[in-house]
Amino acid sequence: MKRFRRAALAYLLLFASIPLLWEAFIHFSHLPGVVLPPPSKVWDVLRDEPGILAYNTGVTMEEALLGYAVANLLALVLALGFIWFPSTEAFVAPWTVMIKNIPYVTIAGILLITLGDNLAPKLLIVVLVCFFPLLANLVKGFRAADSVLIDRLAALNATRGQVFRKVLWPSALPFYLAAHETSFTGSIVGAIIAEWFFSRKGLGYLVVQAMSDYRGDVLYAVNLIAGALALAAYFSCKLLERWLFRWQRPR
Amino acid sequence: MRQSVLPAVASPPQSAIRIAGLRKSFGPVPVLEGIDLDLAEGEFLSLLGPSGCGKTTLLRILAGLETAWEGTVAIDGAPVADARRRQEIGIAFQRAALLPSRTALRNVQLTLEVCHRSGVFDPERLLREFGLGDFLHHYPHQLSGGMQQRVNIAAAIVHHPRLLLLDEPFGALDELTREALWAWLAQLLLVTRQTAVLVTHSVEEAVTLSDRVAVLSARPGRIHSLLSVNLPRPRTGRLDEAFAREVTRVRRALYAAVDAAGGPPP
Repeated sequence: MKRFRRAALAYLLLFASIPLLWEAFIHFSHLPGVVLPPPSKVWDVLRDEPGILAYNTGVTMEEALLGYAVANLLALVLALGFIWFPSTEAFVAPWTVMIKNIPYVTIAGILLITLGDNLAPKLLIVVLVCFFPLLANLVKGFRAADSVLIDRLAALNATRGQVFRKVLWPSALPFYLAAHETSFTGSIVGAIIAEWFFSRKGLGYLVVQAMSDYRGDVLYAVNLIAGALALAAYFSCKLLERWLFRWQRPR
Repeated sequence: MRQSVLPAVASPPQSAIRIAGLRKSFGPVPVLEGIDLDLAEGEFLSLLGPSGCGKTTLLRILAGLETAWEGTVAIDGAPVADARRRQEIGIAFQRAALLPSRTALRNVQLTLEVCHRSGVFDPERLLREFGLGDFLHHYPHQLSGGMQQRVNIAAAIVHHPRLLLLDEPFGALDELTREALWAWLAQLLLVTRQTAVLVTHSVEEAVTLSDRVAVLSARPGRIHSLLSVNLPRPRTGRLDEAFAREVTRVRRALYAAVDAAGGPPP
């Protein structure tokens, strides 16, 4: 517990020192307010326009979460396909290699002119960002399952579903969580990038608009929100991990 | 534990397992050749032989984890797949097949979660009788190797299978733990009266536990000799002359099997 309290204190110090360092930097660098607005101006944006910010944050989170859910479902189905029907991997792997290695920002342009400004292309980009680490880790996790345990259940005539629930899934869980940690925050990044390209709403759109208006204060406000979302996503992963692996902690 | 239901004396001993003309090869490599074996109900048979002689493959065929290439294997007169479907097989391997995220008790319950048999043991009582009453809620990584193996065997017999298959379950344990578990397993089987097949490298282990020992020769595995162990139970006196004599007899058969195949493997 002592270690935990010290970590909490470190984070508290981090958050408290940011505005102080920020003000100090402005004071000494004499940068104009457009380039580097003081924290007070950024705070004004957050205070004066909570409705707009909340609405656009909601839009971004909806895209991120929906896309992330689709990526998870797809990765799970494909990973199980690879495990249970090994020939599927031979046919699917070239596709995943090809799609994974085309930079998704270039695919975004194609998606825009084919699908237009609606939810579908944004979900696709989020899926492209999140899907591959999830798939790779799930497959690795399933393969790491104890073959002796699988044999034991096979001798008991266990069904495929039982072997999945009792052995494959528990063994893939640490691998899955490692991918979840990067992909979950990645889904927010993906959603913002998608909005940057083609959207009339969302945090990414706010960034584009603020840039064309030279609104440094809005840019910083959006950054604060996006950073807070990503941090919250990260800590939710850590909490989930702590809870799922509570049995590993000494009692 | 289960009340023993001994068969009427007048009825002829029934074959629990009948293996006839079994052959198996992995690709072009023959592994088992012309295996014929009959096991009576409640009999304890050990498979002994040099490494790579196909003992484990034979055990896996009995568990339905491998299919025989030729020949027949019948458990209570039916194919192995039927016995497996009725969940009459319990198996324990050298490495304890336990889920690290489950406690000892929940690892034993895992077997029952996939079983739909009646007349099973109570997992908690079983572990208590296995001397693990204080460790029900410990995770595998908190248990010693010997304890893990006892949990493993508990998980293999908790559904009260007719046939218990043991693949070197004590191979990775130290000498004293191993001897303690031999005595414990022999005692257990006196009560549960299951038919059991044990794969082992240890002559002492085979002599301590078995009614009969099948000595296999190497590659392809053939039954070189089939020996009855003529010692009264319980066989605790490992320093006795009679025990030593049986060990020597079985060991001599093992060496003969190795010699017959052209010396020990490199």
